[in-house]
Amino acid sequence: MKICDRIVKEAFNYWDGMLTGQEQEEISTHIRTCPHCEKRFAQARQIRQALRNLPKLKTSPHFHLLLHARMRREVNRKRALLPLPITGWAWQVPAYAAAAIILIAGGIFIDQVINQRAPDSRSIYTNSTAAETVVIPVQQTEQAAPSRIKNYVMQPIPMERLLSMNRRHAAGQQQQLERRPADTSRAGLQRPQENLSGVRQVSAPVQF
Amino acid sequence: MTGQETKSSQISDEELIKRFQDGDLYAFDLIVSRYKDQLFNFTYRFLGSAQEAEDVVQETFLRIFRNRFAYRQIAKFSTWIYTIAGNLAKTELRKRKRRKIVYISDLGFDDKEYEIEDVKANTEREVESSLAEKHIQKAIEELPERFRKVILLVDVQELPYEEVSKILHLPLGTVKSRINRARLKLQAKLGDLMDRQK
Repeated sequence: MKICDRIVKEAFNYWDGMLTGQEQEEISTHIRTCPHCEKRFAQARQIRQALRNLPKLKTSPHFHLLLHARMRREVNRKRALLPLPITGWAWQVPAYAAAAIILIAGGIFIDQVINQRAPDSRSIYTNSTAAETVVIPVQQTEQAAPSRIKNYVMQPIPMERLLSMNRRHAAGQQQQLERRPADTSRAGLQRPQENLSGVRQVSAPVQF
Repeated sequence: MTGQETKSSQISDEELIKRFQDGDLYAFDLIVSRYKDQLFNFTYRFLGSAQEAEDVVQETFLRIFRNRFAYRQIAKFSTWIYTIAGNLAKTELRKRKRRKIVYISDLGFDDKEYEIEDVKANTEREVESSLAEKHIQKAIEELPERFRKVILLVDVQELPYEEVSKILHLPLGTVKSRINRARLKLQAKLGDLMDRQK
């Protein structure tokens, strides 16, 4: 029986002619003498034949139509994904629009930053020594003398006026010194003068 | 057969795909006509559902349409197309297992029109043949996936062993041993049916 099992395993190879001449001959001899193997070999041949003779099916008649519709959809989808063809000046429109948006956004940002920083950097003199104008922050002055000074408006003091004020003050000092030469110790204790607009003027150090 | 048809049948698959790569859509149509039924038979026998099989064949051609430049003429075109169809059929089978749906088409053909070549005139024999076919189809579907593919490619599609080995990315010896084991399994399932048909 062992030899039958071995030979039956080779049945398909036998029908396909994949065995050596000697093996083919050995199996042929065995089939003729063994009814069990003969039956199995006949089955193997039938199965091989049945598989080859299975009906050849065809696709549905509208296969081509369906495929073409899907192909068209595929092409359209690809076109939709591609960027628009850029011709002439057309590319400049989005470029300028983007530049304008960036500029506007930048301006808004800078404005916000300045507005946030302004109250924190309060000082009596917001100008540098080399600046042409001296600005006195309104809030600072109000806090310093709330009862006396009201409704201050932040006003720049022109440099020419500042210089003339300085000169007048110096002249006044000189006159006082000339009138009262003995009382020199009180010369620097003058109160700061006020102009009509209510802005407190300070003799700021001016460098030339 | 017209002169143009004779001419187009003489063109090799590789030449057709080359023309298609160069932008000739007619060449693609010829490829479709040449392979649609072959692939449909293969996928139908593998999946057991005509609707799914047709979807897989459509998807195979779409993949070829989409990735036409991926084909290099180092391999046979039929190897390439069968590899794509086989992989898609395998994916479809896995999807179906996940869905766990029983298809009505599993019990027979769908409502869709699928033409079967009328070979036998005898009605009785036709019925017998149809029953036998269903048994064989069922036996094929019951085979493990690795045996099913190999038996369909070798015994149903009648492709040479070397090509099957390339399609399945398996050594030639493995293909031969698998086909033998698959046939023996089929024999165990269909032995009685074959005896009755004698």
